[in-house]
Amino acid sequence: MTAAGDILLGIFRQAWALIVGLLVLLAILGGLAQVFKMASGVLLGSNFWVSEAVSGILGVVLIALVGLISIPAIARAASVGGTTGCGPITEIGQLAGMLIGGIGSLRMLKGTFLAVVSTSISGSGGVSNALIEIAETIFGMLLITVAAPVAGAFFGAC
Amino acid sequence: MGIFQVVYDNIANIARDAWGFMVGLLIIVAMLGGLYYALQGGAGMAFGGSKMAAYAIIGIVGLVVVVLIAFLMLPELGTLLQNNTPKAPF
Repeated sequence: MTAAGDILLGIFRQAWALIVGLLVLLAILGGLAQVFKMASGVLLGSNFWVSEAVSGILGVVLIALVGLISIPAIARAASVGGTTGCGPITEIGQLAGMLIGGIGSLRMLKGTFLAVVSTSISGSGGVSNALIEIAETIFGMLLITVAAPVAGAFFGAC
Repeated sequence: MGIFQVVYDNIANIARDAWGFMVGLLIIVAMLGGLYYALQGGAGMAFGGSKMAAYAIIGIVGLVVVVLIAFLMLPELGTLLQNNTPKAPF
């Protein structure tokens, strides 16, 4: 079971690297799109466009930077550690903990990716959705720590 | 990146092309905008419109600043993001 978990975690790690790379690419292109908006604002004499584009550039970079720095720390803090339950439940609990940590980290990164996409096109809903997704993931990762022992006790394994 | 390397390479190539296209387009737009402001400034000076000339000078300076932001600041911000890419925390 551990070998299967290692294979899945390997795939998750590769997916993590892919999403991080795409996030950086998208943030740079989103910044360039905002520069276009700024240039248009300058040419048309629209102060509002210029200020919106400046805040858009800063927003894209800040969201990407905060996401890239904070998500690993959040994932490490909320990931399931140690052994849970007893007997075969322990192994299942460890596997579940590893997989949930990986899936949770990827989900938080996906939320940040969508937030950067939304900010690049001057949207506002993406950031709040990303925050909601991150909070859901953290609570899910924390609550799952009690699921395996409770299930083991319920089925009479412990 | 393992099995996703091909996907990333393809998307990165498209993004590189998009970057080149947008930078070229930005240069063209800035040059046309600069020409427009030069015409505005010339007309202002010909008719004695000092306000028009002043707006034209400010507009050209603003355009140059915007293009410089694109060409100097964005690559640095991209490098900053690339230097802060984290490894998988699991």
